Amino acid sequence: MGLASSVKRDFTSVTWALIPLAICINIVVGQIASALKLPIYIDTIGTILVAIVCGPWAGALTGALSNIIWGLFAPGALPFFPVAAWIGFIAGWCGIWGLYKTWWKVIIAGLIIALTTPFIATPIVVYVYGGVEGSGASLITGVLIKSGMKISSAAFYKNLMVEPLDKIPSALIAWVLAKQMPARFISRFPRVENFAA
Amino acid sequence: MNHSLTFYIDRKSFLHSRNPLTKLTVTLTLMTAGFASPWPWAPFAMFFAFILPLAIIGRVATPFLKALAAMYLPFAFFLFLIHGFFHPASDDELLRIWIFSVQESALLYAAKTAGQVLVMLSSCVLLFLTTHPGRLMQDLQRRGLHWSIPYIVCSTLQILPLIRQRVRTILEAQQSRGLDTGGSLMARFKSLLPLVGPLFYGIMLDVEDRALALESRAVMRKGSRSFLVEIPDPAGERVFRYCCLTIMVGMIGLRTWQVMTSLWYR
Repeated sequence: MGLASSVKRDFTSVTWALIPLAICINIVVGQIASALKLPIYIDTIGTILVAIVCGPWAGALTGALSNIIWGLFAPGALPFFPVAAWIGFIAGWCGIWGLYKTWWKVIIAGLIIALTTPFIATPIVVYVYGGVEGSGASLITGVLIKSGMKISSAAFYKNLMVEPLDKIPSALIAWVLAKQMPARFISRFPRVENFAA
Repeated sequence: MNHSLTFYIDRKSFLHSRNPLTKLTVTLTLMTAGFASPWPWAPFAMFFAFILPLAIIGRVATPFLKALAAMYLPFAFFLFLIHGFFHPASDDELLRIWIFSVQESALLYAAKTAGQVLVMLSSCVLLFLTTHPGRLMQDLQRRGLHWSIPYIVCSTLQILPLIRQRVRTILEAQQSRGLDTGGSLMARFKSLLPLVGPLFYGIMLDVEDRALALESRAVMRKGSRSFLVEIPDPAGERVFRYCCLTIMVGMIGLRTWQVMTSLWYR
């Protein structure tokens, strides 16, 4: 399958209808998580969901636009749009590799997402923000710097520690939601074979 | 349409009536200048010399400063905390508090970053305060941006208040049935699913409706569109944008050259 047809395949009218709602899920669930004072962001459920049901290209677009729209009321999120795009993209590939068939494979998918994002996120957080985000998790970076690490490695290892806690539950929730959809609805998505048994 | 979601404030000012692309270009130029400048204090000077006066010209100075402070101050606090106190001891130590050593080079690095982020955040806040996202998107679409981007941005901004309303309804309904949203960490995790589940299935029904609406309105058809609102774009602004673009490319080129030569001679 060529690149153009692979991209085209992801985008049907159902995909276009789903993306804005998935972005709303990202934003709203992120806010629920902070209202429940959960120690994780889980603000990528919608992105991973689109990646599961519509494929990597739709996932990447959802992620990128999600951060750009978030940036309209919190511009600090804007520079991270490549990270969100990558999350959607790799989550979609996990589907093509057949990782959304059973729950333990979904954990592997979450782990793959979590272990690859620091490679994209670290250069951005170091170049733009000096390795620091405006949250308590930055103290981990601080401790690592104090222990003699360079700023970039400290930010990298901090991401590597924090990401699995965020991405594995996110992937599991997105997968459960996708699996629980009514059958007549599931059949309309472009990547049904990736998650429906 | 609900505008209260984004920063946008509808006022009559010189900034509000500029073409959206011109404002976007100026924002990008300011950000490039902030990040490309080799002097750590230059971004702060830029903020006081250009961005703050622009906010006053745009008649949005108070909301500008409020929004900026809410975002910028927590970040700056952590930035100076980490780089001020968490660097391992070295030769350029300024003072020492218990096990924490404060160093000149680390503080300069924090100051440089703080300036860059200040310019980035403040120029974005100013752009979004004076430019309605829908208008910016329409102008970009008119210039050839794929229809999907404006469609996604605008419909998300319209749906979000409705979804938030729905979340409130679900939260209240589940709490009245005895859902505990407090307690231990595990209990709070468990309360996540009864909230996300109903929200999600409600949204899925919307997806079906919206997909039908998109199909019946031929959204995916090729060809040019006509727009209800005309956005003025005077020739002067076009020239001004090309000047900004030249400055931007020049700054990036100069900075790249500086970095390359410094690596070469090391």
